[in-house]
Amino acid sequence: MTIIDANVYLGEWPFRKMRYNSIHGLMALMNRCGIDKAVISPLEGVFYHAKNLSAVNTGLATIIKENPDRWIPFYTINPGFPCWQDDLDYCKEDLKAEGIRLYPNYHGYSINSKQASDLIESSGRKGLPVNISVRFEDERVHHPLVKVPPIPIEELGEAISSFPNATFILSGIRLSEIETLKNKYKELKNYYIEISYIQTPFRCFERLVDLVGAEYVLFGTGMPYWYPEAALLKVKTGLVNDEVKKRVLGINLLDLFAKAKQGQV
Amino acid sequence: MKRGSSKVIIDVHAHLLTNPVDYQEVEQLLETGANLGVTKFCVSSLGPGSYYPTVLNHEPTHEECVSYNKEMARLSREYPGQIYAYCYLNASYKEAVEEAQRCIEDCGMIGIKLWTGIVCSDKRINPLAEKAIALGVPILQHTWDKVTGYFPNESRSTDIAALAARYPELKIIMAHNERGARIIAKYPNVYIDTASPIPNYGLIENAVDLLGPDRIVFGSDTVGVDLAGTLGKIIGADLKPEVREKILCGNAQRLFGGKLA
Repeated sequence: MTIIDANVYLGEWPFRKMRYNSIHGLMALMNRCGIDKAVISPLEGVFYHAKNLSAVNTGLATIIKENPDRWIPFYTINPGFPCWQDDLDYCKEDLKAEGIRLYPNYHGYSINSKQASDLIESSGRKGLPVNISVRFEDERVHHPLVKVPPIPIEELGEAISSFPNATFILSGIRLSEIETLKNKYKELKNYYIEISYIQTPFRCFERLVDLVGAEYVLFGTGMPYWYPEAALLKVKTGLVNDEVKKRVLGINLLDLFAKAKQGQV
Repeated sequence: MKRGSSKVIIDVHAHLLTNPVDYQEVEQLLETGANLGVTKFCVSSLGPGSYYPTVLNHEPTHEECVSYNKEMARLSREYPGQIYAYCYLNASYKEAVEEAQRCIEDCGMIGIKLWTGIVCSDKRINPLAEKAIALGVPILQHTWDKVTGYFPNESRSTDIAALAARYPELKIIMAHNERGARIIAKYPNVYIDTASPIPNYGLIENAVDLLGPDRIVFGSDTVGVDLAGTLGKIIGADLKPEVREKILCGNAQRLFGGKLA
């Protein structure tokens, strides 16, 4: 069974020293956990100024060239930057992006803004799934000078429902927020949940599968920011059948890419 | 389990609902625990309500605590060797001392659990701290060091440090606050549990560097928090196998004086 991690990072974090934050460190963690491939994004994408995002995206693309079979690059775009369309085109055409990452609340725009909407639409036309970080980490442990609120779930729901042909991955979202989303937008089928942030409550993985359906759950570790085993153990020891585990550990992500390409123009 | 896990895993920080006891919840906890190798749970009840979302009484009356403890005592009798009960108290009540003695001596409870009844540096806790010393049991104290504000009477690592300095013989477990390890490092009577639901890589290794391998015990804060996710922090941490075994089992056995055998 091929295991694909839907969420790993490479790079530096401004507020603490990271372990395993080299490409070889990441591969060591993947080997330790039996993970074959991973969606990878630049960690600096969270805090870097928009004008510098192209450089970190390029840097990541250069590093992952050595082992292209192990990486699925998602590059960071900030639609608040006037040149975002150029960045998107460059990431797709030159850097061979497989998807993009958005950090609306870290980059200071609303996911419902015109710029964000234009970016989502453009990404959809290029067949690129859009990963949205609802939050990066628990608000309780933010740096006291950098308290970033999560994306309001109502805004998120409106954005997702506005683009039924786009394909979304939601990271940094809580189970209670998914319940809210699910209750309000029962018919939506264009978003997937990546599990690395979901730590509460007891049996959260099983609850998530029940809530959104096994075909919409993606295994992701968030390593090396998080211990990869925190997510892996949830799936491997989850009280679900083996078919569900296979879907979550890899098949769903492949299905997601196929779905995203259907929207490509 | 890979990475030198322990043969026996003890969770020193778990919760169940009482008033009434939800036996399906109890069975699910034990089932999930067995699947992960966690076979012993040290449990307190914060009463009826919900651990997710947290809808619980932050300032229970003494009578409410007594009623929760009665149900936990029954559960520990019904699941011997699997469920060990803490006596849950609101230390702002003088009667808490007597209830601690009853729960420990008559009901075989293994420690005292304190949440947000009073801040643990408050001197009103002194009689209870002295009783815990006399009974030879630890206090598991809820704490959080956070930037989003606090519940009324919520303790933080600095409150633990103040209590530990006042009572060097008192065994204290600082709950789910690995980030506060530096604050309590110089107090050898303070242990930390690993129950925070935030699995930052390096958190456990840093705690071992600060406290040494003998003052860290595995805890999950389940059922409010996922058991597998919190266990994954210990399995994933870069530790020598003997250190991992201490965190998952040996330190708790020693801390509770063999009562978890």
